[in-house]
Amino acid sequence: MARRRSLRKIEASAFGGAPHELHLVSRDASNIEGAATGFVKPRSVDDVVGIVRECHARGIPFVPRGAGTGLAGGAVPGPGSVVMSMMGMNRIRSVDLAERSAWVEPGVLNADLSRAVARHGLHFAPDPSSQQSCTIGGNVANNSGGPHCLSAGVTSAHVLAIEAVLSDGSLVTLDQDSSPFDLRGAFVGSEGMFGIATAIKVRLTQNAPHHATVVVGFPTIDAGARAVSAIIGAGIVPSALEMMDAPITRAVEAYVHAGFPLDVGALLIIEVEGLSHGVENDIESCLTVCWNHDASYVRRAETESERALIWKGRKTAFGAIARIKPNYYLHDTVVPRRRLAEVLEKVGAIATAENLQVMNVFHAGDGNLHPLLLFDRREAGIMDRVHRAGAEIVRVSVEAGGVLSGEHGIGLEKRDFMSLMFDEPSLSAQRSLRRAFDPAGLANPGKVLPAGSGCGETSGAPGGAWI
Amino acid sequence: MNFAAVDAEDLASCVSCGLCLPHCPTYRITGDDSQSPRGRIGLVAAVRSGDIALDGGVREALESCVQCMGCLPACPSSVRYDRIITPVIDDLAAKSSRKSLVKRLFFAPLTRPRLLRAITVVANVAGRVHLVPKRFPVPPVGSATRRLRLPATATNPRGDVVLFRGCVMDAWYPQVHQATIDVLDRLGYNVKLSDPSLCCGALHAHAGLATRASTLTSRVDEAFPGATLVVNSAGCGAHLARHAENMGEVVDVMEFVSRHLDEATFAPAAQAKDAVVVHDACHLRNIQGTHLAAHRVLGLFYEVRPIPDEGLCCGAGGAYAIEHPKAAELIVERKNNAIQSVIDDKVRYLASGNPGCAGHLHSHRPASWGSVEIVHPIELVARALSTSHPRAGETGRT
Repeated sequence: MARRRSLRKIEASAFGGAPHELHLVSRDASNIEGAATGFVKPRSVDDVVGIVRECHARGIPFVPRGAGTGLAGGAVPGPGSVVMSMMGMNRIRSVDLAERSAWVEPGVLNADLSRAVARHGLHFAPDPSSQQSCTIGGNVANNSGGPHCLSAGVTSAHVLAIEAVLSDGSLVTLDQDSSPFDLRGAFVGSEGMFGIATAIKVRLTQNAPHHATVVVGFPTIDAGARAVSAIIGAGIVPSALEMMDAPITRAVEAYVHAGFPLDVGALLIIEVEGLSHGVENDIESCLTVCWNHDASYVRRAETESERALIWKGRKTAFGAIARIKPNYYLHDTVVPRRRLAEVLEKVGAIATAENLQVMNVFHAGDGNLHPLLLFDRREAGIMDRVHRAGAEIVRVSVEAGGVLSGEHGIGLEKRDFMSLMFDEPSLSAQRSLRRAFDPAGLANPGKVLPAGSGCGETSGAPGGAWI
Repeated sequence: MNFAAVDAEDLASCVSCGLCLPHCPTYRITGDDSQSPRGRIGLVAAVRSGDIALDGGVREALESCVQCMGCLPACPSSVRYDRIITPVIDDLAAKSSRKSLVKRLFFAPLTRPRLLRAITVVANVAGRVHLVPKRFPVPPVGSATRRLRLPATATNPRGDVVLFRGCVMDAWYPQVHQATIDVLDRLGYNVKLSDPSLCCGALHAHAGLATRASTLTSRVDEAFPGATLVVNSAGCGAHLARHAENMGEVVDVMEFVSRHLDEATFAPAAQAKDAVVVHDACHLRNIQGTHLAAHRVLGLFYEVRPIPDEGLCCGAGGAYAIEHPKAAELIVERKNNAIQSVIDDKVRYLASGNPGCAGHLHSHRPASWGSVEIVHPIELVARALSTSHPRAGETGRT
């Protein structure tokens, strides 16, 4: 009797999300529109187990949600889904200073984690531009990166273990002790399709004692891109190598006033961290490479506030763009470093062909492009042009030997491009892996893997509009 | 009701990136999309387009906004959330008859200084015997009827300024007015006082009583054409600065002092400094952008400690703490923890430039703060000037 009551209670909350809540959790920052049927906010592992068991018993798909800052639609629910907000689970369970690790719940904000351990001289290394808002759970789901992941590595390098609820309601711990295979590694980047992480053991990184940040101007993107390849080729691994093209540099400078030069074709931000002698040595080597590649401008941040201003310029670049046109479509593809200049030229041509404005800001060190297509969605027929241009950008990136996504994930956005990169046997292997974790196909279905091919998959691709 | 007064362009300018989320106090305590600026903008847009009905849930989500505007400086797209939420709150208030009666009763004393003072004295007595709920931010008033001392008119003043007395400020914090007068006098300005029946209307505007607010604001505006109005209540200052048309300038007292304080003359002798934790009122930080003035000026005399929570709102928000006591309490708990993290033996003061925040922090102060005194920053400046730079004839001259 008690069990029936508790089941009913869970049912009611699963399907009782208020209309306005269902409306809001039907989308994320991609603004692909979905349709949530239920909304729940578990506050404990037991809550998650109870909800997932109930979903399993009734065949209801469930979609985990963090801060909803994803850009690929990974948290957008298909029809008939229950959205599970993980924001009620936001405790840092424990910090182990000797081991430099912490167990955190998935709703902890990325920047909050670093703030919480700052007094110990530690931080969580992955630093997506959305780090103020995004959650550790979301970082794990998308294997998120950030400017400083060039040397530190992306999220998977900073996750030591995962406690997760699988789609049948079983609670498992994925770490190096519990299985001969690296199931933790498989879970990171699974975009909520293997189950729901209820706690994550993260690696904490010591703050570097010294750093140097320089801004280097080049006459062309080509010269800058060659310099980036040469820096990596020389065996130096800066902590960040970020590039901005001329149009975005002008837009950012007008907003942030970081003192960026406006007469250059491309701007490179180089940051090196470590012990002082190593830092000076590396930054000297980087600058020598840059001078050899026709650098026309070099400025080093002399104070902490100058450095902060440079990074503010880089991390709020998208906002600066919103001042030029009301809408943007931010792409995320990766190409081999040596082909950066060539692909960027093609991206420019694609935009010109569709009569769209494009600006580029990207993680040059790992070849991760972020072309921004600018538009005003009130213009008739504009969305068709934006989508065509987006598809072309993905195609030329993959053709150049690149991949579909660097850090935003596949979600719904890139799902139908998967066959550009993976042949049928590869996709089939990925489906099998997914089935091993989630035989019922209830965990965030319809994402990543192309529709209509999975066991138990609802083809529930929400239709809808991009902005 | 479909929020017709909200500009469609303003709604369309939000790209839903979510960078505002952690800067919103109600999102911080709930983690709910509906309790965030992005969510509220989405709800207003959905109600307007007819996608969802304006039901109790939507109303609650919109009315729970503290209107701290912490999302404004956080937004990289410069979305004007203030221009979206203000007409929405007005719309909702206009449709709520029961609440508007309660509100009228609550706001009645604000333009009646004697009534307000009488209520204050009664509330103080009641508060001492624990009859007043925590949510009413009435501070301890030891000198509610104290008369303000105006110094003799300077023979060769740097200029004339009007001190805006306001309603709550005048009844509850006369000592702040006195400190303001003293410091302005020391800076060489002739001070005139506004009439205490002149209420600026900020609290009314915050509660959605737009028409009444506008009437009150105009009265203040027309009383001092061309004048420089110095305001020591950040909430009043932010409201008047935005709406005044006839006055010369509306300026927060700390900003005024920061501009005119001659640092060379007033730099105190090197000594062990007391530390002061500075609470930035949202009106100064998010609306006027002048919160650093208090840090600069206090830094001349004290060790200044900012609160390490990125300026998140304390939850006072006009009459918010009275209308939404639970949310206000959760928000101030968060603020108190952040304040606690910078308090040690050296800290003697917690400075706030807004009476609403000061009262709210006072009624929720934890015992662990010990003897830390909650003061207006101008009081600290007045004290520092009178001890380190006494005038001729005053005791303590060196």
